[in-house]
Amino acid sequence: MKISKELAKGSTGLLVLSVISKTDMYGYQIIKTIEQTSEEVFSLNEGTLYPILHSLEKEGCLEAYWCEAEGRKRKYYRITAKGLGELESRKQEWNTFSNAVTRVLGGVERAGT
Amino acid sequence: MQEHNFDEILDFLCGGIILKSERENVRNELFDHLMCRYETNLAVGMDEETARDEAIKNLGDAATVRHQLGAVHAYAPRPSLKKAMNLLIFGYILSSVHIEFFNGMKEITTFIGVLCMLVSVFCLSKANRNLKKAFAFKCADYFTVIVITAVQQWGFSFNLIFTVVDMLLTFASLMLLLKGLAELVNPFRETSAKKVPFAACVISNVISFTVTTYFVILFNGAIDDLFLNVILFSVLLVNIVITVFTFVRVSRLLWNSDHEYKIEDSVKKKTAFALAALLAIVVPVAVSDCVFSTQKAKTEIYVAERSILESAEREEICNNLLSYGIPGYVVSNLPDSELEMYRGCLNAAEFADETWDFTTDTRVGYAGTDYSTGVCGVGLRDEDGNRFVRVLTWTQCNSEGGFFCSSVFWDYNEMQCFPLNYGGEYNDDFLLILSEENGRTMKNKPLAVYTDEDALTDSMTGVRFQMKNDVTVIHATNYNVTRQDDNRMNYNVQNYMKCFPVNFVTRLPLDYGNSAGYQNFFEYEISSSGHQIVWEYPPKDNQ
Repeated sequence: MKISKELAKGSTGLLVLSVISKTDMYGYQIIKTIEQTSEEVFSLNEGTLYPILHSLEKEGCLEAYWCEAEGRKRKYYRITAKGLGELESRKQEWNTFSNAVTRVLGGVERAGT
Repeated sequence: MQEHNFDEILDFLCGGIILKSERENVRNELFDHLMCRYETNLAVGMDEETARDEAIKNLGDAATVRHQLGAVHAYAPRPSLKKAMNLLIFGYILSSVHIEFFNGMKEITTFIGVLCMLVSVFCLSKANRNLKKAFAFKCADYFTVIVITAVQQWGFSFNLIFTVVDMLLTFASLMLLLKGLAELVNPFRETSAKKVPFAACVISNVISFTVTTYFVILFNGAIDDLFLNVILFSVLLVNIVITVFTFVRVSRLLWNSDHEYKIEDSVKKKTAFALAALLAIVVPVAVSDCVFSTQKAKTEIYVAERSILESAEREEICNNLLSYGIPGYVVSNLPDSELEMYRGCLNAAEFADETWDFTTDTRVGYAGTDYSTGVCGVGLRDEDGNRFVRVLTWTQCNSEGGFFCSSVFWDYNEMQCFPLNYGGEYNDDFLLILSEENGRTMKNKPLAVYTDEDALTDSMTGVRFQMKNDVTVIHATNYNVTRQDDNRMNYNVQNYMKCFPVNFVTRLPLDYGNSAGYQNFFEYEISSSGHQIVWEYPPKDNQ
């Protein structure tokens, strides 16, 4: 099932921070990991990932380094302490949001039965 | 698959990133991504062409990605790039267009203009290497301006050297600035309908710099010839117009590039630190300048004393003075305070009996230009029998018959001159300065005296001395008493025509008319007429 873009848009940063928090990754790897972990619910426009990564890097949530891989330069990302804090903050925000949505939806369902 | 197969899409995606280094990094990263996707597509069985196209397609809408990357990588030091350009234009105009509605306005506007340019170039300096160099040269230029202010009193040569150095630095910083701006707008130049006239701007500035340097070295900035002035003015004006036009075009180009500029916090601190460092240098210089230029020169009111001589004594002194040929209207109007100095003076006939060779020279001499001028040495003998001469000079100062008189004491034996008033010494001669302050006539001791001499004729061509900045100098004269080869004494009283007051910030003359371009406290020319002023007739309080 594909999720609407508007719904996925606000979650992308959270997802990116979450997968990078587990291990250092490069861009393509991040996309593949999110796709696989979400069982293809989240299928990002690959080009739009990089502005998000670069934005997080400029904010200090990620730090990057270059490596040689398969005969070309590859940029890896690593989460910082600030990034971890940001991740926690966004997780809490998401939990609050999802719980509130669940409660409201639960209320609607109860009325319909 | 080589990189060049993705060149077109990579160029497009990264085209909105201003900084070259960031553009390269993003390009490498996106290339790696495209290659990963391409290799994945090949692995699932696609052909090369399809795998390539699918890899590009998976990136999503290219225009959106380009826009987002450009927004993220927008680099704008504080203030934003567009504001920095506006500040640059403002600063350039202010520092280039010299307007003076009040004393010192030109210097103040130039200072503010240079400071605005310095801040704006600092803000732009992060964008590329040439702008960074432009900032470095601009800093050096700014410090040179401060040094010029400090070394003004060192003399013409130092002034000229530092002025030329300043002009070189200004020119170099402007050239680097233009080069850096050209690099900055390079991504947008081809797509823009309106071109930026960088070449014309460079040529114009080269011509302006060459012409200005030539005139500064040749004339030290003071040009009397109208034609030459028109040429210089025209060149400068055209250059200002072209340069401002270029800056405006660059600013518009950056504005229309549709970038959203971010402000980085670290630049705030750096800007504040840079401005604080500049103030730390400027403030002490300005304070010391104020203190130095407002030091109170030692002054004493000259007041014509009321009658202190007995009438008989006065008559004797006057008769003796008249015997030298001093005009009656001078003698009859000398106040008692002046006559008292001639107490005990010898009659000319008595003086002539002395076997002094120079007695024949103690004659009234009229230099005579527009008004009559005279000088006369009056013989005196003190209680111990020492002989000395007191030189009386006078000159008519206006058509109503007003005139000035003064005198100096000269000891023949000691070969020394003792001025009646405060004087500054130079070359064993004496400089007497009279000023007007709050409606009163004051005798002044100058704070410092500097001389200029003509190397060819070995004669003094001018004297500069410092006065308080709010003092109006009425007159200044020096005495020069020399012994000639035949033992005759030569009294030479040189008159300095009052020239121009100066402002305390730069000590520039307000009017360059006859100042020969010297930038100093007061500039005086030597006049062949000999008169100096201690006392004026009729006295101001009786007018």
